[in-house]
Amino acid sequence: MKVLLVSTHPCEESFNNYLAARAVEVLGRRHDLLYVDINHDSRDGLLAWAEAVVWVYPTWWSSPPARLLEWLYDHFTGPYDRLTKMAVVTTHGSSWRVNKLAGEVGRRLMTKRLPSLANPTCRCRWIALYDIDRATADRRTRFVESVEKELAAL
Amino acid sequence: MRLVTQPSALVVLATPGGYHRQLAEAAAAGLAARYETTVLDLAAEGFQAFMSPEERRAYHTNDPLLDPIVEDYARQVVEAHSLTFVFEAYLGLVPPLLKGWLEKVLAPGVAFVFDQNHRVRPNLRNVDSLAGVATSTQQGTKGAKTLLLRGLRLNIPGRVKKRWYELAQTTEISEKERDEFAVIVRRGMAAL
Repeated sequence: MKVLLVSTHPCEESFNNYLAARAVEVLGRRHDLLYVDINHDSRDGLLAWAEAVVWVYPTWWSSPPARLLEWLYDHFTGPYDRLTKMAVVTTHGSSWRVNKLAGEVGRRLMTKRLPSLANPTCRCRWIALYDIDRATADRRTRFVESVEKELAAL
Repeated sequence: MRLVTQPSALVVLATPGGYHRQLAEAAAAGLAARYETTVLDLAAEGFQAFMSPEERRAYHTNDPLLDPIVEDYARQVVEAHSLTFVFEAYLGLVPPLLKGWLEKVLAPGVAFVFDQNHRVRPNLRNVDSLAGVATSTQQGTKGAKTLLLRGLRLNIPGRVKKRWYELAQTTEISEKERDEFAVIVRRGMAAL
C-alpha cells in the first residue's frame, strides 16, 4: 500500500518525533512509505498518491497544531478516491475526561470530516495518549507499543 | 494612576481583510457601552502563528513566554473581563492565526495553572463574557464554536455569558446582508 506519513512538532527531540520515527520503521517494512515532516517540507500533491495516510501530531487546545491546520487547509482539498485508510497518532496534555468536556473538535475533524473527503470506505483509527504530562515512562512505553501494533495492522 | 477603571474587553481579530475588520469594530462598538475595549488585529501585528522550537521548549518551564510581544498579549487576556473572537472558520475550526494565538499566548500561568498534582486549573479569573463572531464559506463554524465556547470556557472558573454569531456562505450573500450581520453583532454585544 502507498502510505503517506504526515508529522509535525517544533522540536526535533520531542516524543512526537520519536513516535513518527517508530511509525516510519513499522510502516516502512510492509508499505511504500513517504514521510513528510511539514515543519521542513512543503511538497504538494502527495495526497493524490496516497492509499493511506497516518498523521502524527500533538493535540493542543483539543485540535491539531496551527501548522497542521494550515497544511490541511492548503493541501487536503479532496476528494481522494484512492484513500481508504487513515490513522491518527496523537498525545494530549489533559485527560480523556477533560477532552470529552472540551468537545474533541480535533478528533471529529480527523476521524469524520477528513474521511468524508476520501473513498467512501475510508475509516480513521484514533490512537491517542491522554494526560501525557503526568504519564510515567512505563505508560509511554506501553503507548509506543500499542502504536507499533496498530500501525503494523494498518 | 486611575482610581476608577472600567472592565476591559479584548476583541481578537484573526482574519485579515475589510469585512472582518468591520465585524471586529462592530463588536467593539457594542462592547464599548460597558467595557474599555481593545481590538487586537493579529495579521496587522504580524503575529507568527507557529510555535518555534525555543517557544515549545519554554512552554513547561516557569517562564513560558519568551517573546515580549506575546507577554503583552498574555497580559491583555489575563486582565480581560470579556473575550471576543472574530474570524473566518477554517475546515469548520478556527484559522491557524487564532489557533497559534491560543497555543502561544494561553500558556501555563496565563489561561490555566497546574496544581501540585499537575492537574490543570482554570485561570481566566476576570472573564465574565465569551463570544465568537465567525463567518464561513462552506464548512460551517461548529468546531470553532465548540473549541472556544466549550474548550476555552473550561479555563474560566466563574459564570460566563456566551454568545455566538455566525454568518454562513459568505461568498453567496449580498453587501446588504453583510452590513445587517454587522449590525446584529454590534447590538448583540451591546446587550451582553
